[in-house]
Amino acid sequence: MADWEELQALFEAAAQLEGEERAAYLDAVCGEDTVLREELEALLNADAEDTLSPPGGFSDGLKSATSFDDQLEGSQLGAYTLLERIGAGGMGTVFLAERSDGAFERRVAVKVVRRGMDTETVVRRFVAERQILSQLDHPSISALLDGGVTPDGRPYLVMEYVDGLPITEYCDRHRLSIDERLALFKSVCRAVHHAHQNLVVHRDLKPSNILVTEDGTVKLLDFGIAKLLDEDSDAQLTRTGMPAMTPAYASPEQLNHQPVTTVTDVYALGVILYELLTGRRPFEARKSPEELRQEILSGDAPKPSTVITRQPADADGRPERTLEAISASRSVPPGRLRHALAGDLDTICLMAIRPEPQGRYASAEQLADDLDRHRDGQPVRAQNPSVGYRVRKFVRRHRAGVATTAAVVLAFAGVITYYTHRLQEERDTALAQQEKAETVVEFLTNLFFEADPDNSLGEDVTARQILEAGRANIDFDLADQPELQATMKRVLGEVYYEVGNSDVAWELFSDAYDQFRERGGLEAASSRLSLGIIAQDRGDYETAVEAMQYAYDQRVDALGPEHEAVREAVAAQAFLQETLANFDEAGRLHEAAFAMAEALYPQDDVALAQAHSELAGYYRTQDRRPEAEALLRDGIAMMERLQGDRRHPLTAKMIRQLGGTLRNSDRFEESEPLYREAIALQEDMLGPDHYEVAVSWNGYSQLLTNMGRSEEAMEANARMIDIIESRFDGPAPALGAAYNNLAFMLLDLHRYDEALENFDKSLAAQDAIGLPPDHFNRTFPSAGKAQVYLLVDRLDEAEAIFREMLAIRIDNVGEEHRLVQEIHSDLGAVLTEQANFAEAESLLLAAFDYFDRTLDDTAWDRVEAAQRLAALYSAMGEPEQAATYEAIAAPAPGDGEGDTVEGEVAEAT
Amino acid sequence: MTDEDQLTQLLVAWGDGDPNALEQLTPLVYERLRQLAQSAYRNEHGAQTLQPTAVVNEAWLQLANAQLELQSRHHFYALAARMMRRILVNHAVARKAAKRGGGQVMLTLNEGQYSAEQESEEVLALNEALENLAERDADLEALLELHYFGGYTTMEIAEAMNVSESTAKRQLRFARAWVRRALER
Repeated sequence: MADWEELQALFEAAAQLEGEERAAYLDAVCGEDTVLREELEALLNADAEDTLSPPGGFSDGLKSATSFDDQLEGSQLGAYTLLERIGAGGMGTVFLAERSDGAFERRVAVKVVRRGMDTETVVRRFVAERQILSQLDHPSISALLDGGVTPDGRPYLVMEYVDGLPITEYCDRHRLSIDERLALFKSVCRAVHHAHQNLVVHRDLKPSNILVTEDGTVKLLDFGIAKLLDEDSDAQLTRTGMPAMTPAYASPEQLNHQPVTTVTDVYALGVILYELLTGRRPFEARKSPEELRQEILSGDAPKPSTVITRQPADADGRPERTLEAISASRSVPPGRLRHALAGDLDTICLMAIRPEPQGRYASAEQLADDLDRHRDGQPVRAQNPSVGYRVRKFVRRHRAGVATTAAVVLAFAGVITYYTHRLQEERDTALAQQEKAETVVEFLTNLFFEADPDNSLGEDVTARQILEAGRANIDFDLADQPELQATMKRVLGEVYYEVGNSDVAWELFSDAYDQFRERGGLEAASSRLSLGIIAQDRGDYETAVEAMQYAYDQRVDALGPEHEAVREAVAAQAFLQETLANFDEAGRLHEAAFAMAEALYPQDDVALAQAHSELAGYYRTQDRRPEAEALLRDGIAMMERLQGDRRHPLTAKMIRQLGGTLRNSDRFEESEPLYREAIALQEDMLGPDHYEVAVSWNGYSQLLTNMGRSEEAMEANARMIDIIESRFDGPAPALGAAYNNLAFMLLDLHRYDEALENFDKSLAAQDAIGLPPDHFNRTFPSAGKAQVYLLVDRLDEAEAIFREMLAIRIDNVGEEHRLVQEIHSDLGAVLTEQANFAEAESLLLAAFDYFDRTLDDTAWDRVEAAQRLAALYSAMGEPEQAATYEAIAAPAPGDGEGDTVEGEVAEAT
Repeated sequence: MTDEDQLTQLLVAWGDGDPNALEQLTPLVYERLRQLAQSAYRNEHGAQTLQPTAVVNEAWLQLANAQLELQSRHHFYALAARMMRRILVNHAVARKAAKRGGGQVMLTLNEGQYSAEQESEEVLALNEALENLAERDADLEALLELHYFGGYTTMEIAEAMNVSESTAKRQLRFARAWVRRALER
């Protein structure tokens, strides 16, 4: 018996043969091998009878289904009787119809979607988009009158029936002059522009969709229909060719399955203008589809004024229309035609059909306006490259030798993904929004690839350049669409915020908010929420509170109280209150957000796990460690159930939080493997330079400090600083904390000069992000400096700082707080050295009392306070008292000098 | 993060060449296709054809407006075809079980041509034949999977399998004959 490959080869060879030839072949190759012979014959028989369609006739289901439509003739759909079939295409069948009830003497065209296109998504989209299309009220746009669903479940549309000629044919038949053609064409442009203003893109403009009636009225057919029916255009998937689209009028972005926008229609208009003027298309269809495609993509169209003088042959070798014939149908002598086209009209045509969408007229109206300028003898815009074009040129010229910031790449990818997703989500609800989201995605994508044309992401584009090109583009390219412009500003603001430039982000969010302020709603809410978050970063809490409340109110208004976006606003408020040290209020909000999540997600859900993480973070700051631990273990288990493993960014984060919670409980041995796991997972999933990895290094570094492994701790801390410095293009909020923590480690190692240097760096980083002098986070590096001063006997400086920081801390958290008592203790030590015994005693006693009540006996703060009291009393000459406290301090807790203060790296969140 | 976010992220990650993304993606895609297939069944307009191409396209619409490279789309098709197969097989098994238990599942894969019962049998038999084929030639199995359960054209299959169209055609002919023979036995 032959082996498998051989069997295949023999089968293939035999299958090519028939009858006796086949029999002879089988005789020859099989010889005595009857098993092989039988096998081959059985296979060949099976092949001959091969009618096995996939189960349920899978593969031909689509094709066979269209024939059904013939039966529709004469039948009734809604209020209409279908008279005859007047067209059929890839998408469906068109019928001439009239109203059955005779209410109007009006003929209509009824378009029935073909079988196989009637998936749920398409049907849903139909219903939604019909609303928008029916609002397209323009004398030159054939109206959408009605629509519905056939008895077998396919959507259909009822449209105004137009009895006219394709615009090219109309012009030739009436021998319209160039000026008359331009006038007609401009009315096409204005109609298209009207549709664009209603956020409807045609996508399939061509002469047969632009009819001119006998009285000279232009009527555009099928506006927005291509999109309704063309799944491909949304899904961007490559099916076999593009049956729905006429390749000669297809834009490069359509050929490339890139997002389609209003400028795509401008391209088609350009091709039609070209054809109206010259009688030829810029790219001729007599070539093979692939050649045509390549030519369209190259954008190498001949000038209209020169193309008319060529006399190419068509596919069958027949000469195309001569210059004389073309001129005659335009009622103009040949020489005059060339003259009329050369110059402005050449430039205008070629600008409209530029291969890159940004190079074209930004709108159909601009195209019409330029034709007006040409008519009036004014300089046309087409000769000047657009500002956006120049900006991009500039970017290209100046990109040499500067490193790309990976953060921007990531941020863009994130925002694009987000909007791609939104586009999805909003398809069902608000289609105008969808168009907007599409444009956003396209804009960002283009921006990115424009700045990096070779798609190399190489060493040559800086983050700043990309972003600045983006800002310039928004200002210029979107000037005529203020709302979209505002949305884009918000999106770009998010990117700027991501890369740490919160000043520019603030500006962009403010602009966006100003645009939407009057109307309110979700856009206003989102930009305001972002403003609130920046305000919070800056310590402008009043603004933050107001902004977040506003976002919350608007979202509740628009979405009701139970919605993820509302939950997000509540969670933001909770974090703000936490930052404000209004811990009760923060707790109430955190718990409310958690309850909302539980109600929104009755089953395991990533969002619910996220809520676990957030509430646990809060409990951790409140030292409610058992509750935090339980929540985190639940959340991690939930993610494992959902995912099947622990490979998810949220899971990794909760593992880190659990590590931190155990660290806070001094369960170092349990904590360490968790930190290590979190870091390994995050490095693997997010890349070693991700911000989350930095936060994990920070926590791990503190754990190592707690465990007395100072060298490793500093190394971990250095990793964190590296990441943060590389990520942020400018001041980074977390750097203040990073330097602060490093300084405390150096302090533990008695490397005082370096510690001071890093405390100063920390303060400088806080300056850079604009933290006000009395911000709570200031007290950490400042108090650290004072501790160094205490150790190096610069007592007056230490005292001044401690007093100032004490006031800030009491202001923020009240007296009954460990962070206040720590300063009491430190200040008490300074005052002891200064022989200010009375005040020292009261401060130290207060601190010791607090630590004694709230901490374990071995806690370093408590032991240190006791040691300081002992020192105080021996300085005061009271040895008995001193001995008492010495005894309390006696069982010294190993190497417990781990007095790291956590700065504002939001490790708990 | 919602499921949708997660799906989109995974698709993008996968498109960027993260092989681990696929592992996480598979159950999610399966679930999505299953829901879609189910809603197609449930459609109240009587007999509804369940066309894999339509379902897969719809899944694509829902999942993957993401900026995926062509290569990833091919992967996606292959993945979707595999999932589709699993769904249909599971469904057929469930239907048989339901029948035994007296429950009735309304399902029509195609208009009139096949009874639901016949279809279940066919799906299961085809599945088994493909499994047998896979033992001999996993590539051919993948090819047929795209063909039967993905509903793709020869050209698309060729692209997805990274072979020339004529090779795909040849292989398809042999594989179909082989499976047909297996079914007859």
